Amino acid sequence: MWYFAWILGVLLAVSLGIINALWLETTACLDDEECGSID
Amino acid sequence: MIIDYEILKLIWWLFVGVLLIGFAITDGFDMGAGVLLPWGGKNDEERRVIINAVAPHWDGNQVWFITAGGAIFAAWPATYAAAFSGFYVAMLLVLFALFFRPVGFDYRSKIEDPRWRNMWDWGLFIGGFVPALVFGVAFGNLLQGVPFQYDEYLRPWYTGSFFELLNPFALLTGVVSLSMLTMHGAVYLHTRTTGVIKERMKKATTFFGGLLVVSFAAAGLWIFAGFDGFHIVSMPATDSLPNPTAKTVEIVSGAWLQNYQSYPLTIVAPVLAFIGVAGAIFFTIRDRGGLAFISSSLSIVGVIMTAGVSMFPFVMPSSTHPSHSLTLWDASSSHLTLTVMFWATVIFLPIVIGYTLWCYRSLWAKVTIEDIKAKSHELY
Amino acid sequence: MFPTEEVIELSRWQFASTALYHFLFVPLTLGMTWILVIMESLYVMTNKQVYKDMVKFWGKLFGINFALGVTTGLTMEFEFGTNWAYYSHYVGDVFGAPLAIEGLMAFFLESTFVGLFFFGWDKLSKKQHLMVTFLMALGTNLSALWILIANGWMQNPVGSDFNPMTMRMEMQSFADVILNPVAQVKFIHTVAAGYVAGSMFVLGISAYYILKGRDLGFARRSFAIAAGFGLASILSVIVLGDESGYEVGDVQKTKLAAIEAEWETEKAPAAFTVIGFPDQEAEETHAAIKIPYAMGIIATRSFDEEVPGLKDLLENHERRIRRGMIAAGYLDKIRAGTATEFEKESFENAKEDLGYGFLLRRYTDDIPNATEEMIQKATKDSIPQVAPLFWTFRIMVAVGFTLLFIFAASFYYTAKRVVHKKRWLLKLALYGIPLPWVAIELGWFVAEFGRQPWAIGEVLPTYMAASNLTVGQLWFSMAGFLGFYTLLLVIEMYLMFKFGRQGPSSLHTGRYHFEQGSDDSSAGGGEPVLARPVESDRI
Repeated sequence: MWYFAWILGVLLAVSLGIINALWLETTACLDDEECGSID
Repeated sequence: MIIDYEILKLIWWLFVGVLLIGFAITDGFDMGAGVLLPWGGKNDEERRVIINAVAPHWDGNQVWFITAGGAIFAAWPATYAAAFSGFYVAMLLVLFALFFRPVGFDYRSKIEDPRWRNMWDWGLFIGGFVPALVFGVAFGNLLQGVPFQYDEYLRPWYTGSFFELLNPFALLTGVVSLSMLTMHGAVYLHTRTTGVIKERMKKATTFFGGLLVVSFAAAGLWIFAGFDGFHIVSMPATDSLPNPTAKTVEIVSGAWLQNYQSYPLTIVAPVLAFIGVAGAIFFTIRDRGGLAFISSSLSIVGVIMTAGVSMFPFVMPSSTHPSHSLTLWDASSSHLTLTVMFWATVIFLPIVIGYTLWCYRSLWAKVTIEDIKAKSHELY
Repeated sequence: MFPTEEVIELSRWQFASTALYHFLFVPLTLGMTWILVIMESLYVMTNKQVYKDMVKFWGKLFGINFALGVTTGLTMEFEFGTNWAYYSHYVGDVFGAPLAIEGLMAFFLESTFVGLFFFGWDKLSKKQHLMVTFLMALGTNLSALWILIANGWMQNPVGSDFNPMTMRMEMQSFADVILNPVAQVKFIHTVAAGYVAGSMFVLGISAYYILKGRDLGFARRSFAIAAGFGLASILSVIVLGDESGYEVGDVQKTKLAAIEAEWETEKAPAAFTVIGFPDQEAEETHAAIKIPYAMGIIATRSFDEEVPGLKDLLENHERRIRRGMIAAGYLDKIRAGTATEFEKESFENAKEDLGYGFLLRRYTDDIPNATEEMIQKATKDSIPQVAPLFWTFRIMVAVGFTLLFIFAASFYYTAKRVVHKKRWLLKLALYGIPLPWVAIELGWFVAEFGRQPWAIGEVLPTYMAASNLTVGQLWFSMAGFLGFYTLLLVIEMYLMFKFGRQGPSSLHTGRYHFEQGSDDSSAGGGEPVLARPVESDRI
């Protein structure tokens, strides 16, 4: 059933997007001049 | 559960009616708001009040129209095919007019130039005015019969022209639907706005309510005074395979009144239309917004039911080949498709109504000029 | 009465151009809604204002696109009835159902919640709003599901049967229509392509801000999200390309053979032609460069199944046309009410080829007595033009692999946190924004042009499907579409560029590039926007 594959695939793709952002969030200095100046 | 084919055909006539009524009550008020926009709002901020009173909802409302179209395609494919291709130019005019709405709502306030905004205001006016008028004109033509016929492979063939659609009776029914939806829009805006706009909407409700009463009564009298209707002389059993060319139909003066004689209870439909208008005007003047909206909605139910009851069981009579007319018995889909669509509707329509109401409740508040000023960059 | 060739040609042009145009906006909606879900989930998880600003800013661009998606989608619903009336009559019993259910189940969901998405920020809790965004995304995707079930049925009409008494296809099994293998692979392939479009859009515009050195925190986060979501999506587009749907049904097989310009049936597993010059008249491909075994493995997922070539398919079509003539003869008798029981039964046995008989309708009114010459012409018509399919497919695949490279590199360098130093990649991402659209439109062309000469595969030729309209009516509508669509596209692109350039400053929060330094220099409005905070939950 490809329809199930879609449900899993969307979950996976959304998770990859979230994880990639969280990875950036926890380990990087996000602004070139000073960290977190925007938040 | 298996439901009889005959019953299903009848249920689908009701469902199409429900979807059309749903469309007129929901999308109707934002089309009405579009018609009222250039006069209801005298400056940019006032117009934005009107636009933002319908902005969160117009898109969901429009789906009633799309779903009604889709349901006619699925349940009455022959009608969908004959009506859309027959009314080709009129349908495209409606479509082009509808183009103005999504972009008008979304793009209008994204740029500050007054000429830009004024242009889209008129776009929204067209997007309300043209469909509201043409739907009525279309119903007027259905009541008179449409010049079309079938060949041996059931290929529909329209033999009239666009300008034939614009005959006096059809224009009168056009005024009926235009005034009905504009009144409904005014009633809605009256409950959602304050101050000067609210006052203007009160006047608009009275004016368009009055126009609706006059035009609806005039159309009724016209039909009463010897209007040619259609009458089935003989037809195959109601649960047989749909074949739109197997019956005999005659054109009889006053045939559209037969159902009211046979089933006197159906007189409720036109009566409801008049009572609804009276209620809408009465409650608007008394500032009872909720009751006014319900009354106005009931008048819409009454008007649409009147058209349905008058023509029953016809949905699209043919003026040139009356025996090729489409009725709910011979224009419908197969038993299985009607069953599938029945369950889809029974399951999903209540869900739709549920979250639509939740959406209205979440966003229900009067829209004021102060709101517009405060959230100038967020609102439409 | 039958429409002229010119009416049919114009109807096809109109439908193709309005569908291609509609499909400029749909993929972005499909992808952007999930990206908004990602951003808003991050907002709920981390409670950082920047993620909320991202939802609002990208949501603004999404809204500009969405408006045109809705506008042009209306056209599609009208056009089946206005321009393809006989199609609607002939298959509405099956085809109408998924369209109507799309409205009930998906489009209502999407359109109701899109209103709450834009206007519900102050009225809903954070989690409620996230749920609204999710339901909006779900609605758009379910919408695509039902449309592709309908479209999959056109390619491979399962779960239905022709009824001579009602002169139409009637549904036999709704489950078969939903579970149609062509519809399933088509759905995944199409929505995943939409996710790629959405990702590329966010990736490219974020790259622009990074290149300009503006709003870096905002841009790098957006870039990372797009890179992650996009990489997963482009992989599924390529790995789950819809080749596996080409095994079922004659139309799909013919399309596959045409895409590959495979004239002769090769021994399994067949070779894949990388490049060559297909010649329809000579029925061969000049200067072909082939990779052995590749196509057989891709298309059949096996080593021993044959992929039939066009010449064998044509031979088979000719046989079916001849049987279709017999079926058409019985049908005429049934319609006239003069058929005997034996003839009715014979029709039931021959009716699977009735559609092939209808291919002759283009040349004669009297299908049962068509001449040999007409049969040969109809046979030639029974496969699509090979060269356009061959080329568009290859360009689509090449673009797909380019996108894979962009997303893989973007993902790799965001993971290494050095993407802002890779200016070549940022430029590639920015100027690569149109690429998904190129691939998507070409993919649409391959699927639908490759279906020709059929409107409904093996059932109803496109030639017979059109409405009985006049050339004048068609020119009226074509002129209207051309005028409106050109105007709308210009306006849409103008707004996209305007807000794309402004970036998150267009939210007038005071937190972003164009509003910093001097307060009254904001682009667009020019009024002092920082007079008082608009956001209730500023952090």
